[in-house]
Order: sequence, then C-alpha cells, then structure tokens
Amino acid sequence: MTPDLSPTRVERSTTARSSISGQLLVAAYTVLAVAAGARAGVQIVTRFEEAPLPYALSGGAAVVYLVAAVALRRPGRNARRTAMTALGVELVGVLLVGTASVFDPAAFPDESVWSAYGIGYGFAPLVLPVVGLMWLRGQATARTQVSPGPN
Amino acid sequence: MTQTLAVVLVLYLALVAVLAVSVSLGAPLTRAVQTGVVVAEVMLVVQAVLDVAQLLGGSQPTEPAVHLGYVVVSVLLLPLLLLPVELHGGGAVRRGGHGVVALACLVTMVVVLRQRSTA
Repeated sequence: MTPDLSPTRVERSTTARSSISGQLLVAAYTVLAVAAGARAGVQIVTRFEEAPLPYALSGGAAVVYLVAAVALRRPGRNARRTAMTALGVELVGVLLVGTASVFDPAAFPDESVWSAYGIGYGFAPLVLPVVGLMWLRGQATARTQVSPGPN
Repeated sequence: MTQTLAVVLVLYLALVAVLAVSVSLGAPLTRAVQTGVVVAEVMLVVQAVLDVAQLLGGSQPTEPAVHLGYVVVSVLLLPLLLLPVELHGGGAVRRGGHGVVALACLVTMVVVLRQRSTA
C-alpha cells in the first residue's frame, strides 16, 4: 500500500497537534502568554511609572508568547515562519535583557519576564525558544524527507 | 469557606493530573479525565464567585489588582489550554493531549495557591 504523501497530508502531520512534544510546547507557550500578560497588565495599569522599562518589556514578552503559541498551533509554511521569528525574537530578547539586567541592575528597578534570563519563571523563557526552534527544525527536516521531490 | 475550597481544589487538581498522566501512559480513563476537568472548572468558577463576593463585601487583599488577576486567570486557564486539545485521537495525539491536561492542572494548582496567598 502506497503511503499518502500529498502536501495536505504531509502538512497536517507536521502540525503541533500531531506530536506530544508539539502539544506540550503549545501549552507551555500559552501558559507563558497568560502568566506574562496578566503580570504585565497588572503592573502597567497599577504602577507603570515605578519601572516603565521592565513592565513594557514584560508586555512585549507576553505579545511574543501569544504569537508563538498561536503560530505553533497552526499548520502551514507562513505559520512556521511566524513561529520561528517569534521564538528567535524571544531568544534574542531574553539574552539581551537578561545580560542587561545582570550588568546594569539600576535600569531594572523591578523584574521583567526576561530579567536574569527568566529566573522568575524557572528559566523557561531561556529554555523554551531553544527547544521550540529545535522542534521546528526537526519538523522541517521530516517534512523535507517525506515530501516527494519535483519531477 | 474559600480557604477550604482552595485546599480541596488543589488536591482535586493533583488527582486529575495523576489520572491524565496515567492515560498518557496507556490507562483507559479518558472519560474520567474529561469529567474531572469539567468538575474542576465548575469548582474554579464557584471559588471565583465566592472570592469576588468577599471583595464586594469589604475584604481587603494586600494587592487587590494582583489578587483579581489570579482570580481571572484561575478561571480562564483550563479552557484556554484544553479547548484546542484532542483527547480522543490515536497514539501521540491522545498521549500529548493528556500530557497537556496534566500540565494545565499543575499550573492551575499553582495559580490557586497564589490566589490564596494574595487574599
């Protein structure tokens, strides 16, 4: 019996829903989006003037997590690109903000999600984008191997 | 009242998480997990209503905005995480779905505990 290698079938098999790690990754990003969004929302509404930079960064992080969670959940090349961009932004952001918060603590009177490389969230902001990018790369490789080449 | 309910909720969510892990390992308990999640959500809504009633009745948390944030998140977390999840698919879909249920229950436990600590 010949396996069904149609683009639709291959695309469906490479969405987050089709693997345990993909589903857990989407759930983890949803949790981070809710946690960072709620925290940033409260901080921005109630005491933004106390530490505008960290609170604005937390708000930005929440948006990145939301975009990543939605993009990882959706099938298709555009969604995959969006997810890779969001995860890349997150990784660069956590490295830059984490380093800045360690070497210039005065600029961060209160913690942001990415302060000290995400220590307030068990370093999940540092680990998750690496895991996510590896997962996306693995999915892309599997897709390339399964897809029939051009005739 | 809400303190007792919070303790019951935390223990109950732990039980549902254990059930979900056992399903992802192969136990045929999908129906029990589904029922468990629905009951947990009902308990979370009841807890939130009681909490808001206490706030309206004059209760003063140290940080009202933070506490209210935890109340809202405690109600929204399970639906947000679990509505897109398929629990009846085959193989990886079912195992992954129940892994997400376990994760959602554990995170909700933490939110309920934080909610009580800020009350």
